[in-house]
Amino acid sequence: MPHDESDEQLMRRFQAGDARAFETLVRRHRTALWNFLLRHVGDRARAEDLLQDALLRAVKASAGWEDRAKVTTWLFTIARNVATDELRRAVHRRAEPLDGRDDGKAGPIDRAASDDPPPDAAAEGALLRPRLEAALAALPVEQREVFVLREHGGLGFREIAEVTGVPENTVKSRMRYALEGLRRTLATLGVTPEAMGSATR
Amino acid sequence: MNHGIASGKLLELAYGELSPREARAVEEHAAACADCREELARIRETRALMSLLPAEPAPERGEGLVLAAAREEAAKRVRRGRAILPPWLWAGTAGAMTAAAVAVVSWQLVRTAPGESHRDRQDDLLGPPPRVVVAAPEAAPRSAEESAPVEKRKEGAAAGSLGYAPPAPPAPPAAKAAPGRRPALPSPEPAAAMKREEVGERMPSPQPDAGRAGVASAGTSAGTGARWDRVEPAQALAAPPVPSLVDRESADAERVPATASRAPPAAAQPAPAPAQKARSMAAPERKGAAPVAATDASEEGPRAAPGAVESRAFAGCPGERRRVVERDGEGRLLRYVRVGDRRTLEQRYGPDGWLVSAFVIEDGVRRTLPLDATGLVRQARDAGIDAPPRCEP
Repeated sequence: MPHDESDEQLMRRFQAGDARAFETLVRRHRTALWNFLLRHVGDRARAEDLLQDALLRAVKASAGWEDRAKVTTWLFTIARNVATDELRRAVHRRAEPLDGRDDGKAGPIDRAASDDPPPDAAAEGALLRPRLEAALAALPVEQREVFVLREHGGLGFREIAEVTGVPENTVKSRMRYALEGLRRTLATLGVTPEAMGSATR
Repeated sequence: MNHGIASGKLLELAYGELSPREARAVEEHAAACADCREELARIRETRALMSLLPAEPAPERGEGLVLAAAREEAAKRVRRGRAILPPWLWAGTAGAMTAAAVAVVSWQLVRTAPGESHRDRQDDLLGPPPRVVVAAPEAAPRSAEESAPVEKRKEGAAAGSLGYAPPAPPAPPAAKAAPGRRPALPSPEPAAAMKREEVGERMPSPQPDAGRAGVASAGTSAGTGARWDRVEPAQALAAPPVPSLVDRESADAERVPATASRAPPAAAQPAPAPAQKARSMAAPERKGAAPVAATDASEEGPRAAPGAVESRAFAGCPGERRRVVERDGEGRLLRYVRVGDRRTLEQRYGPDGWLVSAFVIEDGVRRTLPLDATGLVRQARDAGIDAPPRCEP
């Protein structure tokens, strides 16, 4: 199987009954899909279920895939729909608001903020990661979705527009809001370019 | 470039989505415009901060089910034949594949059991049970490398890698009355076949041939005529297509006896023989090779399988039409999925062999169950492909 075979060629082969072509597609895209889902829903176990769910749906829907559609956007559209459903369900069962003001319990941001600020730029990793995750979790869903599709899914703005079904300009403005929001939240958590210093340069 | 245009393109500049010429123009503007320079810096800094959240490798867990579903879907397409194949295939660019497909279709006409006449959403979710689609060697130019048997099953020495399908629930009257053989070409229902993603899973599958139809109804009347398939883990696909030596006794009266060294006890249906039970109890402790075949020397060795998915169908068992069991490379039970007509129950186990989560999918809605809910199997050692089915709907 040549390595440069396009996604679309693989998809046609799968449509014709070659299961290994789908396997190749899965191997090619699962890391991006996984990171998108993981960062978007912010819960490892759920993201794992969603990845499986999305890929199973892709198997089922693959007969309806048409040549015009880029496989990447097609796969991400499925994953995005799965995630959207999950996040809607999660709203109903969520016991823990993102900030703790509603019930006095500490939310992720409060918890992340209550840690001591990182002593120096080397404090990436263990101390930093929960703050970054908290900042993402604090974004409105439609902004986080765009940000995560871009940064973790590796999609361009036009592709994100296709996946989310909104105009490209809307995608870009959501992206700007997302970046601004992240910057603000990170600052309250002590994560600033200055504090990170060498880590970001 | 004026300020309005340039400031609107800062985001794309930061994300490398501009053409070199446009990028240069925006950069030139930003160099002279403090606001734009500042915004560009903010975008880049925030990106840099967030990039400290690293990309993670995707979990392997659960992938076995996906690939099994893909194989099943692919097999279905091949079986259903030309109506599904896209036009490019007929341009002669893939003659070999076509030949293989036709060979498989012809073969399947002789071998295939009736498809399930109805499937519910739960079934869609997990995909139908794995089936064997292996072209006869002389008809499959790709067999060595590309179509190495993805699902293999031992049927004694003679049967080797032959087509096999689990028994289906009773066919609807229409299907029973229909002619036994489905002509390969042309498809009698091209339009319907093309639309099968919308309505498809409710359509009768390819008709059984006369012989299998009799078998199927016999299986039904016999109650839980249990059969199973074994799906090789994905990584094992690269291995040469050795006949799978799945060591398994089955209560299925139709089965070809396994090799003499482990001749199956002629157990009465439907309860699994005690020996099976014992084997399944021992499964979690097993190390090394894929669990089902652990007693088989040929399956051990360098094939470091990450895990295995087994699937087994129960005829005449509305509460559990099918069971899917996923184990990790150590043979530990990860998932235990029971697919019934009305609901699908999935239970997951931790490395210590205890139930860690359970959920049920009913009417397309997924609900997490408390671990102390009735009817859950709390320990992996009580679950497995051989555990008795639960047939009450």
